[in-house]
Amino acid sequence: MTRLHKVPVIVGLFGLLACAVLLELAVNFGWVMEIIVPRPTDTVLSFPSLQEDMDLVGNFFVTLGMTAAATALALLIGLPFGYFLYRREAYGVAYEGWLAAAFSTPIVLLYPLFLVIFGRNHMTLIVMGCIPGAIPIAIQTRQGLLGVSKTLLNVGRSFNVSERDMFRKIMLPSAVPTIFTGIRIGVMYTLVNIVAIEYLIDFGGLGRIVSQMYDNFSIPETYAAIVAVILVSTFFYWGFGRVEKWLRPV
Amino acid sequence: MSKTLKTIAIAAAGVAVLSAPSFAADKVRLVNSTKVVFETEHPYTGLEEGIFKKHNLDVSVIHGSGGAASLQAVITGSQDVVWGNGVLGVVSAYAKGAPVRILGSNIRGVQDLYWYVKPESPIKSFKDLNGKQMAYSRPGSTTDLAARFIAEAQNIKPKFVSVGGPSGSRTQLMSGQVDSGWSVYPLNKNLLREGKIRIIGTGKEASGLNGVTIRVIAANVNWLNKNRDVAKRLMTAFKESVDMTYSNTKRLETYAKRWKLNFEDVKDAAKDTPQSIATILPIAGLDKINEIALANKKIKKLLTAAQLKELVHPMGNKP
Repeated sequence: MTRLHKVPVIVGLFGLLACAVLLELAVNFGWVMEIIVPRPTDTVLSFPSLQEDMDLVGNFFVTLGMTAAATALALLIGLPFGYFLYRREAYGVAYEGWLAAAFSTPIVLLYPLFLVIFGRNHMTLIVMGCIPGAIPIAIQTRQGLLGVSKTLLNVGRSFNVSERDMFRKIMLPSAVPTIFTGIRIGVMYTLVNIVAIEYLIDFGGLGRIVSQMYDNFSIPETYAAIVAVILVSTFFYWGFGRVEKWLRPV
Repeated sequence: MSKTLKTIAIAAAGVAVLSAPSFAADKVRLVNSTKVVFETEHPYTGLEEGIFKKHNLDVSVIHGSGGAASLQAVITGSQDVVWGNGVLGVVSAYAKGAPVRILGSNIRGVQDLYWYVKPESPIKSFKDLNGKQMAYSRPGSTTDLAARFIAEAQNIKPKFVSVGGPSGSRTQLMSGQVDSGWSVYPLNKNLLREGKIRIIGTGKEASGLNGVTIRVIAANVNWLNKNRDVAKRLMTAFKESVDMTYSNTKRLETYAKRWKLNFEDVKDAAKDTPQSIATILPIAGLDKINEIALANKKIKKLLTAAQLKELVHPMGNKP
């Protein structure tokens, strides 16, 4: 890690620590009710009991696994569909508005329907997580490919490169930042939906722990489970950042 | 009129206007823990029959959606009183230092809950659920508790399945995903009337819970300490409201109309949920609730006798 990269990381962590200290003081001085927001130290100290009572680590991997599966499915659907919408302009113009409208729909509210179709199992979580993830991926894939510079394409043509190389060496690297913006948005919506459904139907994963701890008024444990959800989110954000860098090193 | 008299008249009018708020009814912000269920109707009776007004109370009612959210509204002070909150939730919150106190009982026992199957199901009673799926809403909920007490009373070992609320339960039963569903009167009684479901038993068979206060009326303790007199009047008004809901058929019609229920499904509400279990006093079986709370990990250690005493302010009176 270069110095240029180290400094923002240190500043970011310092900011987080400062917020935690301020919150600790706010609770200690009674400005914030302890029963609503716990001390950060209490949240940290509750991890062992949460692990013992609710298998936090196991459920962390359940949510991580569900999100990974739903994201993989979203990529499998979103990337080719976005490419199709780019290649067939008429379809792209026709469907992009519909996709944007579908993206703003609270699909999570349809969970009873999905329960009937797929049953009360992991498939419901994966499918319901995949839908809001695939939409931004498809939209951003199309936008990314549409946004490739004409100059770059003309340079490629002047070198007489094949269609395949044109896509692989010019279009894809150029579109990667936009496509990955869609992937990052998609994976976040996938995670939010999966945790929300786990919460709603009390099935597997971190959402179920948040629900149970909240119902028990175990506030530090509730926040500890939320921190675990943030860790899942951070993992995917970091992971896709690495993949993006690999695909477009410059 | 002389200038002096005019001045006195204006001053008197001013004093009258300024002192008007002191005669205004006392405001109470009530959160009804859920909706549609029959026990949640009583605050509406108080509101619509002028009972609150008679006691010089200006009560506003909002709904929660069950679970911890309604109680949380009272704990934060955004609402003053919660009607019909699960007692385990209140005990759990109190044990963790939440500013909440119990003022009265909302219902004792769980006989308003019932379990059902599809008509063609071979399951005829709770006994037949041995080894089969028995539905409940969420872990640690009243239905979870009731299901476990029924299993214990019937000496059966069903597979307990969390299915969510009555509508989620109905969907999963009707689509064949679970062997039994749960509901609360009068929800899903239309399916019963139409012969689409069959009841296999009620919460009355959770004999260990009969007579034990399951849902309560609770208040924010800071509000309570500042408004002791208001709380007492509120509880008296609640008592009168419960009496009126049970004695006046018109109230059942209003209840059915409010929630767009068929009157046929609510006309037996007083039998399904008899008044004997819905009276505001006594607040019964708290020792047992204390033990259940510990067994269900709602609290880390049993509340002491002093804590239990501090928790309950019957009818708004000091313990």
